[in-house]
Amino acid sequence: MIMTILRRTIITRSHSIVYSILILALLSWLSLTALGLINSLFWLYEGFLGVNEGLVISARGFSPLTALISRSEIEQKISSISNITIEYYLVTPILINNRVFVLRSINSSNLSINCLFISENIARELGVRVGDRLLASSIFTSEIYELEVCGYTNGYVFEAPYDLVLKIRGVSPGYYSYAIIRGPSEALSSVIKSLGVRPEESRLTGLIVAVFSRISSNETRVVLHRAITEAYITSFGLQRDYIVYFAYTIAVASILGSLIVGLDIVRRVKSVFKVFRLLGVSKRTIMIVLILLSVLTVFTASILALLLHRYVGVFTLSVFNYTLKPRVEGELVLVVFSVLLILYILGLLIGVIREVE
Amino acid sequence: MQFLIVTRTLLLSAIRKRLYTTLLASLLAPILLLIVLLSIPDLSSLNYMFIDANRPILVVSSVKNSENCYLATLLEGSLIVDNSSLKTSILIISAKALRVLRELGLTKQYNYTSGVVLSGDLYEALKKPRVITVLVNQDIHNYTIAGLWGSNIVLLIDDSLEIQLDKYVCLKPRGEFLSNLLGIFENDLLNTAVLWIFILSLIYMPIVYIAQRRVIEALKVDVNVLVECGVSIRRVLLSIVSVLVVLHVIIVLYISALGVVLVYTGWSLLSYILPLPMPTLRAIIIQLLLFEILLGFLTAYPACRGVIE
Repeated sequence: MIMTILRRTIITRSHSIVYSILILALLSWLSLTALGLINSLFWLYEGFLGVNEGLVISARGFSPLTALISRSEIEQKISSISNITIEYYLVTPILINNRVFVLRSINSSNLSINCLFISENIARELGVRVGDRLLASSIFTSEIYELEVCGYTNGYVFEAPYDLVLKIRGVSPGYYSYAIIRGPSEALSSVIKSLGVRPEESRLTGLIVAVFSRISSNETRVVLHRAITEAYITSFGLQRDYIVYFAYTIAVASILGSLIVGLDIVRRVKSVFKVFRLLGVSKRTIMIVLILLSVLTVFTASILALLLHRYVGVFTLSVFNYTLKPRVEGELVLVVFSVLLILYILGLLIGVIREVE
Repeated sequence: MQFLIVTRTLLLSAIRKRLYTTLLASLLAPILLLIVLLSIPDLSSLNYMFIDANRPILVVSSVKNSENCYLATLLEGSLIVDNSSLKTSILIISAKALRVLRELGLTKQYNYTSGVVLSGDLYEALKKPRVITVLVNQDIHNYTIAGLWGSNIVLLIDDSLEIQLDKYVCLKPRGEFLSNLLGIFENDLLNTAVLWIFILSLIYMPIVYIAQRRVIEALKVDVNVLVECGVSIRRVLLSIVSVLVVLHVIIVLYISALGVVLVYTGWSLLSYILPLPMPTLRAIIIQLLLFEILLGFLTAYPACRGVIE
């Protein structure tokens, strides 16, 4: 009987239900977009630097462009651990024709010291090809360098031999911005232990970020983070949790309107339920039908919202020529749609209490 | 006169029945989010964190974009010392050497109007000369070594060279680039926020319409009494639209004021634990609030027509 009442209600009030679904879908799409954009800021450096897994070691700083680690210090700590590979990178900002780009070191002895690899899109924007020369200014040393375009990269970061990046960054040899250690989880666990952190404090899959902060001239403390960006923003005093709460507040606030949509749907289906009540249908059955209807409405709206998120890419952010798109993960989707369902049912219940009785 | 009396009666009735709560609920989210998101601090004020922000750096540009710019060009030339010659790239700047070098901190005691800055390695390789001969475009000039740097090019500063100069070299404070970078990011962030709020306001339009309909439905008894008293339906309709618009404007202003107080209070509390710059209220907020009010105007009449035939 419940299914019959539900079907009849949907058929007789299809316009109102479609109207609600559309509003809820648009609201949850906007909510997901806001959450996704704030979440994508947490993964800025991961996408920008192309780091997805492994143990990243860096130092306390505002960004990888200012942090410095000593290779000898790290190797001293992990010298006894085998079965791991370590890649060291030095990154620095450079100015070309008044625009800021990021230059990262590559280890290759075959390249000339002035060699520069740039992204094909940026090369087109700057009007340069392989073999052309560029003048780049260093923000750290105030010097101008002549660089020769030797080839193209796939990412957003320019690449050059370590010795050149070292000069532009203005630091002594042996210093890097970050290191990536890869290997089996047992080996990474040993690395974390040797850095002075208990391995059980971290999960050993995906990405782990260990940040060195100097306590005294010969003593360092290592703090683990879940993401590279998160590790750097803590230097501003901003904890991940503050931003997460802020993002969730915005997401929840933007779908508050679903409560009024819930209230409205009761008013629209009231007359249909009156007929069913006259036919002898119990209040309980009508309540179950209403809840089923709301679940169905929210479910359809959620699918529509996900489709909108997938195909409508209106919202983006740009940092260092790198475009950030909303990054929506499973738990964020679950939170948004759960809150949407709760608010919608709450509106519905308020409507029932105020109008149906 | 009758219009004013009818409007006042309906407005007082709406306030007495607390019908503004539905409107408040429908407008709370878009307006509070508008105030909060567009009050983020001016990010360029964060450049205080950049050490040596005023230290100038040399930037090559194709256009003159500041007062402190000099004409320049990059040429292949030769450095000649004791009959040995070395080909290298030379960046020629048409300026008084003293001023540029002092600003860059490459020298403190250099008093000549022209000079050459070499890389440390090249200076060592040339056996530390005091004066060097430079061959550029078949012209030979002698210059004093004015300073050393780590770059792979030679810097020649001379304002008397007759040579075609196609570039500009500008001296700009380091902090300016960080400010520009943060400013670009802030603009992008604000543009995204404005677009998001604009779409949110449009999506909330039907919700505001629902809330306005509920207000009118609750005022239906008062409307019937007024019609029975001889007030024309047309005049009642106009009065109801006016009541909705007045309520809408008051609520928009109320939530905006509440939002500003909340933002500043929250920020003041946060500033005890975080070194945050104060929020910045931007002019775009007023434009978006006016847009919200316009949406209220647009939905008021259809909402009235839907209830009062």
